[in-house]
Amino acid sequence: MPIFACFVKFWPEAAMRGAPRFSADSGWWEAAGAFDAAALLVAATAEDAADAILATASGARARPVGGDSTVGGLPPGVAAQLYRGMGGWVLVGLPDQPAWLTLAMAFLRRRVYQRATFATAWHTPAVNELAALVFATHHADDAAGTCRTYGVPATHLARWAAEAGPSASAADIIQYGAVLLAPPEVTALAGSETWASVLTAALTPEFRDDVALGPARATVNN
Amino acid sequence: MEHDLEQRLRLRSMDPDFYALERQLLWPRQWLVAGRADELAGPGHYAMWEETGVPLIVIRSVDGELRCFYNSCRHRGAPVVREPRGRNRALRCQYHSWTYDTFGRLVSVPDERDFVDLRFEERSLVPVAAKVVAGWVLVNQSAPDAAAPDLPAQGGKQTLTTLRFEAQANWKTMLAALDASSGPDGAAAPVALGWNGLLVAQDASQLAVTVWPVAEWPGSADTCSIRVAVLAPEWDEDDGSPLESADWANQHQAITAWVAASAAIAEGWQRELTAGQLPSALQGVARHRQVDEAIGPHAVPTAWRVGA
Repeated sequence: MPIFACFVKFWPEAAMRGAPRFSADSGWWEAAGAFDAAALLVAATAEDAADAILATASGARARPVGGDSTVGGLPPGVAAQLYRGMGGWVLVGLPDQPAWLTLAMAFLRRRVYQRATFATAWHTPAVNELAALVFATHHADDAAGTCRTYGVPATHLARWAAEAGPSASAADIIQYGAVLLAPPEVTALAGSETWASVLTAALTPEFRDDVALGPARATVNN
Repeated sequence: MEHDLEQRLRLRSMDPDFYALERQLLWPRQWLVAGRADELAGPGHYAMWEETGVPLIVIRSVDGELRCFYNSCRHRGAPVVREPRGRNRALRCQYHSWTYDTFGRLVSVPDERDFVDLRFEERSLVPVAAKVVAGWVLVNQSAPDAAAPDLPAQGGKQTLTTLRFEAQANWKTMLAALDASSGPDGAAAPVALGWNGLLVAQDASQLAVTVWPVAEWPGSADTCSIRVAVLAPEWDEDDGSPLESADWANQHQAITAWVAASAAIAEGWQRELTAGQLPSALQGVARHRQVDEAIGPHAVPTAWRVGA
């Protein structure tokens, strides 16, 4: 099964004290500086990877669905972004620049489009902060439908389609997230002892142990 | 009582023109009790507030401060918020999706290309002065430098719920009826809560009662709304909300009966006013002088003015 790199940004009030932040090293991990936590997850689809993120944050049990992916087909390193909507969560893919233009013009504002490309939008804090605000005012299923109408791959995560319960618990913790099919240089880390601990611990709200990510960071830097 | 004074007191509680004067010059200039701060506890919690006929939003910004804005989109003036209460870190107008953050700043405009030279910073929601005094949320439309009322703190209490009632009586008449009562339990006389409200005990709870000039837009001189905030002793969420207890049903019934009984009295007085009489309970001038003072004595036409 494919390996997805998953990134999560916490709300300030939910952010873990001493939450580890990735150093701004060159290369692919530079993007991770916009987030608070990350993990490599083995999942059949981007939707299942997002399901695992929300499950970890809310304490619910992950329940992958598998099957066809609405935001599938994104090449390695191209993100599907995770935002909370009213009554659920939306996963939005940005496969190319026209899709990014469409998303920015339909939901956001011109300035964010001018300052980010489709390749950088997913890890640009201004883009994600604004998108998190705006998507939270739309019904999740409506927002996903609007995206698809405009040709932007998007899906409403059906299992998290509720205003209360685990969906709301996750919403109190996660400001936004991103899921990417991991590129080969990251996939090579999978299966290592270091990343095994990251897989199970990285996204839990109680995770405060900088040490767990320290060796991982060291491994990456190496 | 002097006939002329009696006539003035009658008119002030039934004349549409005096009602309009109050709407224009009285309510916008006062610090009004819009609710309790604990009702908007977390970032993004908001409530609509329209008791004076002016649509306002009170919202807890993400920096923890309570703010108030006119509930009017800066695009075409449509209401930004349509639900009485809610929680969101952004507010989006349903017409054209102009979106504002909890500071009232315009942050998103779909199809921005259609708006030439749109300056976001000039299109924030229009703020209204708001402050928290002793746990009470106060708003003031046009005189933020005015002194805020001295309000009693309610330590150890938490807002359980807010009930709303309407009466076919002028707000001053209704307030007089409530003031003359002994509360739902018949045991405790109300004490003043600002200049349009009362605080009355009911068992271990306190009822914060405020009377407003608009029951339903556009409002009229012989209708009013009554808000009753039930302040119960603080409870632990693990023990469940008191709203789910059997005691609450009894308490609710008692509150409703008390307000209904007071409203029946007020409505009877209002009918007497219309018939040309002035009930003895409405012959006091103190509240009327308070209203004139707040409006500004020189702004009150001589025919209505209640002298010092």
